[in-house]
Amino acid sequence: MSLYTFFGCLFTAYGPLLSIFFLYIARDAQLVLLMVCRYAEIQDLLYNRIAVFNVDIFFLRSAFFWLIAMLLSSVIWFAAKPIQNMNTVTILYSVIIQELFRWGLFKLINRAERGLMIVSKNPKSLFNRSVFAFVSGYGFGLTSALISYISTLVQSIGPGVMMCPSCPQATLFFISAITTSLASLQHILWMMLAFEAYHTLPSTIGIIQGIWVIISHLGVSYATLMNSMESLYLGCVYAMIVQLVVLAISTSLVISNLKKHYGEAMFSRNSQ
Amino acid sequence: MCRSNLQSMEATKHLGGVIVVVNSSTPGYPSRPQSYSPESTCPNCEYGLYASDSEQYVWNPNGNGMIYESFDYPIFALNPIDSGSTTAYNQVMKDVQYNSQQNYQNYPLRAVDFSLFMWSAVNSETCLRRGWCQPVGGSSVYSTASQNMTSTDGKPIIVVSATMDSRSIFHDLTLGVENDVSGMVALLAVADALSKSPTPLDTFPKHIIYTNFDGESWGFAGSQRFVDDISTPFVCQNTTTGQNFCPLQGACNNPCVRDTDFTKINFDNIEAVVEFSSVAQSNASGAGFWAHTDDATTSNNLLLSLINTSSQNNTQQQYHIQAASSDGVNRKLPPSSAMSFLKKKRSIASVVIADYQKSLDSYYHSDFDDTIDLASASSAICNVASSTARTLWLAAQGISNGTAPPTVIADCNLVNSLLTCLTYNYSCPLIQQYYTVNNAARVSHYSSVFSFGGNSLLSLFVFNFLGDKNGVTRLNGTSPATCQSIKDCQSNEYCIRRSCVKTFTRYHDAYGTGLEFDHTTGLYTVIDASQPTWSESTWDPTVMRVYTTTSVQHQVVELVIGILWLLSSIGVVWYLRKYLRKTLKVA
Repeated sequence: MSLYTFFGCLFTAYGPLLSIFFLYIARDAQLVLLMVCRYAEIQDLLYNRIAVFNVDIFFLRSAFFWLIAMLLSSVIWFAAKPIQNMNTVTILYSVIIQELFRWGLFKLINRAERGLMIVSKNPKSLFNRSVFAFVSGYGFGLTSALISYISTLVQSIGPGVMMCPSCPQATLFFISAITTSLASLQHILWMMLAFEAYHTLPSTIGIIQGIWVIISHLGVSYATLMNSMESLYLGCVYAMIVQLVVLAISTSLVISNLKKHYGEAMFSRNSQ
Repeated sequence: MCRSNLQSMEATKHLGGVIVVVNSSTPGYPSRPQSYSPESTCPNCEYGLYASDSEQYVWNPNGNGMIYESFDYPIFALNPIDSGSTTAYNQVMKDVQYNSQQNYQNYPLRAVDFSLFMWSAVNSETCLRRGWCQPVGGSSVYSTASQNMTSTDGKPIIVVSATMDSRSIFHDLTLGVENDVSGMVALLAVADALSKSPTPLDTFPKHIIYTNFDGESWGFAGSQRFVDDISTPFVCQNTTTGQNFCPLQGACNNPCVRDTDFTKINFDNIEAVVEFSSVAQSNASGAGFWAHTDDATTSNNLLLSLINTSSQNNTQQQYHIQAASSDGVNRKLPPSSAMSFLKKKRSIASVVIADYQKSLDSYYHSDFDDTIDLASASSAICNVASSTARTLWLAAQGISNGTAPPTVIADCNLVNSLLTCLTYNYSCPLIQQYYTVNNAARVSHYSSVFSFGGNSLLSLFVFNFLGDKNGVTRLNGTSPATCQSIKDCQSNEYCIRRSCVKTFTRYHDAYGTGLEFDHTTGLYTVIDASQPTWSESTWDPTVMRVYTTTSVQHQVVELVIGILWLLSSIGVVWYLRKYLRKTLKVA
């Protein structure tokens, strides 16, 4: 009977990630195989080849980077005994470390990108860059969603539930699933915004986007603290609202960025 | 918990398990019933002396027989007796209160699940053969001050007896203050009183043997096996070839025994059995003690001597021993170890001393037999022990008219300590004198399962106590030979109270006489189904979990939201992909 809860939470937490994986990433990975088999179509699909090649590499690499960031945060948490129970402090240094690793990841991809561009027949595509960012963000999002929620999800198979302290009508399993789902989307958008910002630094728009990423990351993280506040009735709803607002702002920023590059992308393809 | 309650719950077809609150610390909870006995109306009578009588006296009219029933659902007991059980109790009570506030309808509610798997199958015979059961039993202890007793010395023997174990529905909670701790304490107090006799006991013309039988609540397992062993010639067929599963490196591996010293006790020389039933007078109406006999003529001398001594000894009427048949009705013996002796030889004089005349105590073999008024119980036990010890002192010397010396008297402080130690504080100073015990407060008085060479905490204490009272400490010059363990002593000595002591105190195996150990297989077989064959099932670890649960509707809503969220994600990704392909010709 509690399998209902399990699948409900599974689909809620990982719905977006699963659909992106199976409809986008996995399908392109299939294209890689197809490409090897069908030589004739190489010419048509060469553009995709570079992107897909990178997708696999950067997806794994970003997941690895996020894990390293978490490991470092855990080490600090473990070593700093007196502040172990202070979630506010833990969130602060954890977010800062994640952002530092995001910067490191960007640096690495930027270097690798240049190398890859040399072998690419279509080295000037700016959209490539957005794909890298998207897939790296997906890696961050997927890893954080798995690490932070999978143990909770496993427990939801059992007969017992924990109710959310701030929303006593909902289970903590389900509220966490929603938080996880939204956070995974945040990670994708943050990565796209951050890469855009690092590419355009030190322009004003770059600085603003970079600051937005850090501030909204901190804001969303702190907002989730409301989930566990027993004294704040419907705290989980406020947390969700904060997440949705941040998500909406980030989405509009990403769209405007894409729109800005849209003409160039078309141009570069038309010029071939 | 009674049968009608359980039946009405079973009738709903929704009964998943029962949590029984044995003791409640919550105010306003129903108080205990005046009397409650889950035993049968005549406990163990089918294995007793009068089993073949057409009409047996009903000793336990309150008994509802629940202890013999099987339930195909788990039953857990809550009894806040220590920190762990108090935590569990408080948690469950809090959740019960919460659910009742929620009207048992407004989810989320608290739920509980049980895991209580018992391996037992069919009956003792099948279960023991499959190795899924073990015989119920333990180690009886017998002891005598007559160190040089032999089977051929021709001296008559007086047996002083009591029961070591008790029984209740929840074995781990079994305490049995009246039945049978009070009798056991009286026995130990008598041994102590007689050890102070100015005339050494081993010079008496008769032997006095103290027996404290284990497994008695299960068809008199301890006493019947003891009587069987001492009344039939012991033949050791020590097996040296083939496999032998006897785990003991003892005197004989077929039959498997620790020692053969019980053969020194000649059953035919047993002249009298004096037994303590319940003697704490915890629900006494000031009526005193009652001496029950099988047959007034064979036991008359002993009976009269007891009555006389007790009236000389005590000024208080409350502690006088009277003949149970003084009202003209001979109810014969109540369920007792003495029956096992009389079953073999009816002419043995027998007296069972108890604080009841017509029916067993109201909480007989119940979990409610766990309260004690230390002062009044000590006083009652001390007095009856004194009377008995003084009677025995005379009887063992064949003195029909006389008075025992003033030193032969029970030590009331000792009785008090013994009662405390054996009920609520096993780590008490008295027991610490014998060996080191840590963190043992209330120990279960259920005999548990029999294993060769295994001793319960109770047997261990009784052995050490009687060994001490009936032992001779070896002297190294003028000081006692000290020891840390039995290894430091000579081969026939024991290490008791850190001194090497020579004593005729032994453990004796106690398990149903209907069972026999098969040394070739290591299993127990049923040799006589009409005799006690009680066995206990092995079980998987028992678990009771309390948790919060949501309604099915709630869970379905979660599932539907999840599916909708997944579907909309698929839709959005599908659309975006298509859009990007079309407009950007990429992705």
